[in-house]
Amino acid sequence: MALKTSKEYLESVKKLSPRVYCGGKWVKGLLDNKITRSMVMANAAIYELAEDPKYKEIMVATSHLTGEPINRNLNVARNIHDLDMRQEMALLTSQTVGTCNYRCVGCDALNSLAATTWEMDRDLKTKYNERFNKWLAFAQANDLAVSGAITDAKGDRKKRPSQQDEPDTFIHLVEKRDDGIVVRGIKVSQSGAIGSHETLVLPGGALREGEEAFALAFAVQNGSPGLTYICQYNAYSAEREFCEEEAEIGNPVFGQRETSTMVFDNVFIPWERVFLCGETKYCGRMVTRFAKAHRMNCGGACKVGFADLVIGGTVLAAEYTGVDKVPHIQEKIIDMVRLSETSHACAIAAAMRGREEPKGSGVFLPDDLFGNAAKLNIAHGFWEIIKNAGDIGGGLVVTMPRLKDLEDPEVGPMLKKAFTAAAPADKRLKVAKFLQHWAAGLHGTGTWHGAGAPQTQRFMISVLTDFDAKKKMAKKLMGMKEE
Amino acid sequence: MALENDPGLETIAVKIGRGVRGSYQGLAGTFASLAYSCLDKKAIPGFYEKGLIAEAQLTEGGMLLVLSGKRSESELIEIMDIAFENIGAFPGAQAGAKYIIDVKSKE
Repeated sequence: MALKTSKEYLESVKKLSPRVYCGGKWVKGLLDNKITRSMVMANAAIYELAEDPKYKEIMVATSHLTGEPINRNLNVARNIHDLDMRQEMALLTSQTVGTCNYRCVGCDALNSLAATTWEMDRDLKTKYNERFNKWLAFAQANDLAVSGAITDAKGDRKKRPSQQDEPDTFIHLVEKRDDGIVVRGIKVSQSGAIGSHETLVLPGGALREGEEAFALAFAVQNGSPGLTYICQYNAYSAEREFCEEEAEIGNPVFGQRETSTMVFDNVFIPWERVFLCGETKYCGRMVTRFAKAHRMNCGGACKVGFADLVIGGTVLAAEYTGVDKVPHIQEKIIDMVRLSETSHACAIAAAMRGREEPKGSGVFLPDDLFGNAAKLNIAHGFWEIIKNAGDIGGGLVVTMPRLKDLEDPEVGPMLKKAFTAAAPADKRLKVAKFLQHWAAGLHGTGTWHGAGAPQTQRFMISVLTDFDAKKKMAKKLMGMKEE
Repeated sequence: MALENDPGLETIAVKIGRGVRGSYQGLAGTFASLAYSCLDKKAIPGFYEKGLIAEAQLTEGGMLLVLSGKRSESELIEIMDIAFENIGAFPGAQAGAKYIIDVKSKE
């Protein structure tokens, strides 16, 4: 089997019993808990997209290892077209589920691993790339849902990993054995790890000599003993947990982005799943390559898919209230499109200017400058977009009563009287609830921090931009002599 | 780059009573994962109640695993099925098993 159907994925999840804690209780079945189910259903929808012939070009690739058709989420980009389809996949999946493609971080992590393990084998004569390819072929053959874990808990930011009072704030090595390694520590904000078959764990940042214990990259199986997932919990979680009908929620089936804190309490990783162990010199490159891929996809495509949904909802809100022809409303909607599409243009440019890295590896990564520009642009742009959604959607976006109240025999008629405008009250409230999910939900901050907070993109842009060349061309045009 | 002849997989057979009742294929290292889990963590992947393992020891060709309580053959098969799925191994052909896990119920 090279491509799992959505149904087969759901069947596989029924057999998974990771140790998951959510909202004060242990989760017995991922599909039996309303919150964890929304995450699993989003993943199932991603599998379903790959079944649809209409999306084959975007969602299905050919394995460079076996020649078999595989889900693009498990593909190593081998050319510009792969990069372009990768960012198109991020766009399509976001437009489809309105939340995370929970296989996305894993996809970008495996591309970084493909490049960096190849480099390590070349430089150090290790066997990491050979191991990684075997793992990847196995994941592809079984069409596994693979998430990615990058961000360590980090502890006191003034201190290096080895200086932390609590060493578990970073994933680290406990024991090296003949058959594998034992690791412990904490990764945070891990999107969709609970409903994945495996998670790729990468170092959270560059490391120095002396920090070898923290230099680790590996694949961990979802149900490995010692691994605990503590789910995020917030007002939206409570709303889903306690609502009468999930149809009332802003994104009824797929929900908000579901993340968890992954706690590794002496988890065993066999050597066959270890892709870096102690080589500090390569950690920075591994993370940078991951970020390079992820900023194109997360910043320039995924969030653009979200923006498409917000724009769609906002136009509906304008029509339903009868303000769609008002010039300043139209102007604000055009601004939303401008902000969104310029980010997507950066993603397309990042793909088109992608190149093989390292040379000879066969792995293609996007252009770094355009990828960072895409992410930085949308980090700011998305706030503008949801600000305009709240502006045009009106105060109703946050003051609306419960949708179900429309059905109440006593208050229902009052609410219909109050909220019927250019469209019936139920349509207005439904779209207001949808916009609430975005404008008053988790996605603003999520977009800000996802794929790295904007300060990281500013730093990268400052490094990647040739300011001297720009000064030189300005001086030349002014007729100013070079000193 | 094509994979070399060795795809890096591992087949593990599960023996219950007198015969092999199932076999699972995963990435090489799957048996090591299961053995660490049962011997060091005293846990079966996918199960969190304490005391499920009454006895676990490595044998020449694999592992002896004795589960607490009185459990039917089908219950033992179900437990192992879940255990393997949770460490990324799936039902596969019985031929060429590298390891055999002998699973028993204590009573």
